[in-house]
Amino acid sequence: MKQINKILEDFGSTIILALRAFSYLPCLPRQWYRLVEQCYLIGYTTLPIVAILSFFIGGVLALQAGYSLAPVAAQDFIGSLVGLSLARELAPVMTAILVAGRVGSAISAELATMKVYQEVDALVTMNIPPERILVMPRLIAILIMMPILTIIANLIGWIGGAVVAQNVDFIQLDTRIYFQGIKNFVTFRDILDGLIKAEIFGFVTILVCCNVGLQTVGGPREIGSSVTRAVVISLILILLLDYFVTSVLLKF
Amino acid sequence: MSHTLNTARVGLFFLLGVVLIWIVYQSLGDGTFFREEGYPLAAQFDDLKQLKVGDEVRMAGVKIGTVTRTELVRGRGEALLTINPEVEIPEDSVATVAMAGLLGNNFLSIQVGQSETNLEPNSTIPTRSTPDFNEAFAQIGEMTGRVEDFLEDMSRAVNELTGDDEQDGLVRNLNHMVTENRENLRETLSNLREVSDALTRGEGTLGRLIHDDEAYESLMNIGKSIEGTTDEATLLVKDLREIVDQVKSGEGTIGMLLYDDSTAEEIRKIARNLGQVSDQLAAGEGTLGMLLADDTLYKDLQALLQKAERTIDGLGDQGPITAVGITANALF
Repeated sequence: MKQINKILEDFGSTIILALRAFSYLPCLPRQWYRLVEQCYLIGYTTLPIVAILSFFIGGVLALQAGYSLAPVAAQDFIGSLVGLSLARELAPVMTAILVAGRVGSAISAELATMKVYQEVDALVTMNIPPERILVMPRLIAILIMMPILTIIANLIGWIGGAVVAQNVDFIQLDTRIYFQGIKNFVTFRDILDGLIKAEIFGFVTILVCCNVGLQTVGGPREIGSSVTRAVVISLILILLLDYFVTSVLLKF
Repeated sequence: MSHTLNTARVGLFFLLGVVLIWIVYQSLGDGTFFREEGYPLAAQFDDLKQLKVGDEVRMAGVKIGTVTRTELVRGRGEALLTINPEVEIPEDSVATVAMAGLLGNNFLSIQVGQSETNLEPNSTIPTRSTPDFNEAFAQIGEMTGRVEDFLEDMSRAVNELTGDDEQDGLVRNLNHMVTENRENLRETLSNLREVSDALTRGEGTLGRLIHDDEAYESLMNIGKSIEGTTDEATLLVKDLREIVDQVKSGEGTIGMLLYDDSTAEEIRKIARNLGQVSDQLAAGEGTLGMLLADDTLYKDLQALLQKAERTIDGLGDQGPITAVGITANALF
């Protein structure tokens, strides 16, 4: 009962936090520098790891697909398989997980520290709502950055798949055929679905991390456990939402 | 890290992302996400096969729209199409479900018609069903049956021609004939060849006839001599005619014979006399008649001759038994 109550409390506080943050949307111009800073942290500094990861994910997808398809001489479909998997599923999910691990943990640690060291209380005392300067720029930044990260992950993943498909002995698929497969089977709708998913995942991740950070009560030890909780909840939510968002998107 | 630099980086990053999304949209984009622009058309089929929502509508291979909905209308499949507004479809165009690949990618193919008037939005386009793989295979199956029947007929006909162990066919008979008479045929052929060779070489009568002028010339000579003979024959005939004329005119012996009545009378008289003489002879009249008709003279003559013979024998056996002999002879 206490656990359920806790979960409901977390859920409610997250929604309230989101609503309050968006209620300060008109103040965005005044928070411009914070927004740019968050964009830099969330997007720009996350790019290398997203690029590396998606390259290898594309590569391993092509490798596995080639391993399965080469015996039946269906290598032509590696392109479409890798392209669709990345565009619809892997690029948004992997990017969201990376964002949760790299950015979400940092955000929750920062906010938890501010909360624990009563900086948030000081802001409130100065009549500066913490949602306005701490949460709202981050949410806007992730909404701006997430599609960009995802599209980059898509393209680099496709390139990784192409490199693997062309150079692995038992696949040896010409790059042009590979990209023709992508072109034939992947529509912009697939890409857009992926971007929508990434947007939702990123937003939820940052919102949960902010909320968990701001809900932290106690000392330095609680900061650590808050970060852990924030990342774990983010990952669980990403994978849960993935299923439902996908099923909803497939209906349109 | 200065604030401006970060801002620049973020701006660059953002632009990069937007550009990438635009590139992907351009290369993959077919506008399916955005609201379909164009006018609707309906196409009813008995069987939509694997036509799905989002499949392309192509006219002469060019994409002109998409399938926006498929539904069942009174037992028929109806595909609702959205056609690009700038494309006009003639009224008598025909839509078919065509296959883009073996893996079941279908598209709706519109064959352009000739009509001047174009289809109005929301109208129904005429359709035609195309055979799919199942039907094609079914037809191939039927065809195989027919081909089998045909082959059976063929083999039966061939059997009738060739015959089997029980029954002789035409070919078999011919074959027999040829096999049995092979030697003869060969001989015949070789003979024919010899004959023709001989002919070519000019040997034999025919050959000489063919190759030798002699025969021709002799033939010509014969012809000439026949001509000469004919002339002689003509002369002969003329002579004959003269003779006949003479005969007719009663000149000469034959003429007299033929045309003089007195001669005939004399001949008749002679014949009559001859008849009388022969009658008398037959009746035994006169010396000659007696000689011919009466046999007494013959018997007398015979008896005389026998006696004479006996006498000569008796003369030959003269000796001791002469008396006996004479007696015996006298007795007999």
